[in-house]
Amino acid sequence: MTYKEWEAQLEERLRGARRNDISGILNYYREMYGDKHEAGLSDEEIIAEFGTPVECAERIKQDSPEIMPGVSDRWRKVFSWAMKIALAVFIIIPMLGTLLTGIATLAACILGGVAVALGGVGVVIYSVVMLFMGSAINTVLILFGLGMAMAGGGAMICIGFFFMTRYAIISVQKIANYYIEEKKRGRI
Amino acid sequence: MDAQLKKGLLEVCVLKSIAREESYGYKIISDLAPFIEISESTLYPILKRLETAGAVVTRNAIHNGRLRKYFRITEIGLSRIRDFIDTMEEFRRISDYILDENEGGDRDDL
Repeated sequence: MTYKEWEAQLEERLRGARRNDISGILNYYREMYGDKHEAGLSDEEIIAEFGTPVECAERIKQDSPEIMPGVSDRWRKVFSWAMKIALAVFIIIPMLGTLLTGIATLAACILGGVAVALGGVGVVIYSVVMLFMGSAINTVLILFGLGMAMAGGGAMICIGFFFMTRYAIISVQKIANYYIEEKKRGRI
Repeated sequence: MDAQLKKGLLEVCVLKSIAREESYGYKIISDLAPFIEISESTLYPILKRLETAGAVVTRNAIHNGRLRKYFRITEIGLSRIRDFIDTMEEFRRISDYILDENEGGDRDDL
């Protein structure tokens, strides 16, 4: 058997390992072969010292299980991915949905506050118009007061919910940043 | 020699071989051959582990028209050798106690 044939058999025995690992192992043996050849050994002597491709592959797999993940390791990876997908589908996506709905609700309340405030302003303007059109002063004052109350109430609702929404978004952002940092540090 | 014990010794032997000077695979095996049996397929995972652990660093260089990977020891690797020496000192004290003929009978009785 020539070294090339030996190497081809070794590569065959290493099938299933990562491409980088196979290249690393083959380069290693090529280097060893080159050095032994330089030292004066023949192909047969070198191959005899290396051992059979089966023996070499088995020894490497035994001492470096990470190079050649076993069937159980593969199934562990499959299970791990299945758990991540299930977590995403049944927990993370609904949580994100709830979060976004909450923020949208707060934003809608802001718009509601704006609507009430604008309505109040409209009523105030209407009361002023009524005043110039000669309506009863009582009616005008009532409308004016109502309009001012609506405008003020709407403004308060608007400002209140604006800050609530802002804090909600900032909190979510801080939680996300914390999670990303901890993930980078390997603590999660 | 016990297989697990030999495995532990081999790593330190490889580190010691590289500690003397930058070395490469074939030279490491040649240097260690008089002291401990090590095959090419045994050496490969050891070198990979040491590199992953940061105990050695590598560089590639052209030698006679072909690529050769050189290994150089790092401070982490030197620290591992020092730790091993400390362990061996402790081991020697314990083995001295076990082998002491004046304590608990003659050696023949063991």
